[in-house]
Amino acid sequence: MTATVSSEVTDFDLVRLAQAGDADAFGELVERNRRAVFRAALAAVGSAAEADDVAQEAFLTAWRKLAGFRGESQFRTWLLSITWRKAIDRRNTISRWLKLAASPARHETSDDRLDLIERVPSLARAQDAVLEGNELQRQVRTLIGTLPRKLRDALLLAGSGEHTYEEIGQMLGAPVGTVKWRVAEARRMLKRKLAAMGHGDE
Amino acid sequence: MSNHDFEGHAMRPIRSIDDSIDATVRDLMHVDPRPGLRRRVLSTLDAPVRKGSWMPWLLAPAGALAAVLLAVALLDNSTHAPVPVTGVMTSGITAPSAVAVRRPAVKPARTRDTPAQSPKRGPVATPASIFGQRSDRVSAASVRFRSNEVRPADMGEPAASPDTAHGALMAPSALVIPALDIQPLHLPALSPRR
Repeated sequence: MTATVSSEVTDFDLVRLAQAGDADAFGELVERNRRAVFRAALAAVGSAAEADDVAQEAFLTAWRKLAGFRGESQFRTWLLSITWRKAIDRRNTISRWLKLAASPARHETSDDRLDLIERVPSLARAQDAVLEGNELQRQVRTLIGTLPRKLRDALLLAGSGEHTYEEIGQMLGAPVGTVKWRVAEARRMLKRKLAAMGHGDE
Repeated sequence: MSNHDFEGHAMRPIRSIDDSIDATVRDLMHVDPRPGLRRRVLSTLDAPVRKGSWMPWLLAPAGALAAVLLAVALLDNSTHAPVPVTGVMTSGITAPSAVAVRRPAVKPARTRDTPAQSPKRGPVATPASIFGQRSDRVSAASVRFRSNEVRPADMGEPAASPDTAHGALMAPSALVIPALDIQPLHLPALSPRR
């Protein structure tokens, strides 16, 4: 197996190669799914460092259990299920997510500053409007931390940009309709709370 | 890849609550793993399966077992410790006054001298059966005082009133038991009818 794998090679082919002991093929599977795995873990544990550990553990577990994977579902779905179980175990152990989500001041890294600039469409935008938006987002972040876990998990997984509703349903063990309802309910709940805090839609 | 309402908000200004929610979720979730995840994973593939140490699993039950054994040993010691007699009538006869004794509502405070458990008492004499098989125990109901004998009330013991019975227990001064004349119990009214 060469280090460079064509994108035409399917996950199924890579899984077969990995099951035969090809570590490079598994490495390609890691590369293809690393973001989805990491963000799934992030939705559960809320910390990038913890999510990184969970992702690594999930890949390692997948490698060890690969012989038992019979291809009845997609490898990605199977991998995400492993990841979600690991992440929930981690969350139950350390229970850190609420603190992090509720803390208004996250460490401002350079990436955070870049995100902030991205959201500003024009440099002419008034600075007070930016500050107001930041304040609102801080409050939203705090309120997300107060959501019931089922709703919060669905909202964050749906907002990760990496998972389809079907995959989220597989991870959460819920039908797609239920996942969609949870996302909508989480948003409704957030809006109600924000309205109670004096933030109304324009 | 995804199919959500969260896409496409990156370049839009935050105008509404919905936009703010989307932007916040995006901030929280659009984070990438640290570089080198593939390398880190591949470097651990051949690592032996890390099994949890058996020590924590063994220490917990061992500690619990030790605590139980210690508690049993302490209880055993306190049971066999010499028990000072404090206000307990130790006469072999259960006097009528003692039968009517009610325990005080307030327990006396425990001190180091008092045992954790109440002292063991001897078998309580019960009235013998009037239908036969009399035992050799003296029943309180079968004790009769003769007119020339000293009754317990005459010896300074309180009467068998529930109100004063507690006082009798609190001052068990030298108890002199008079000679008893034990008569066979004969209660015609209670005899079985034929």
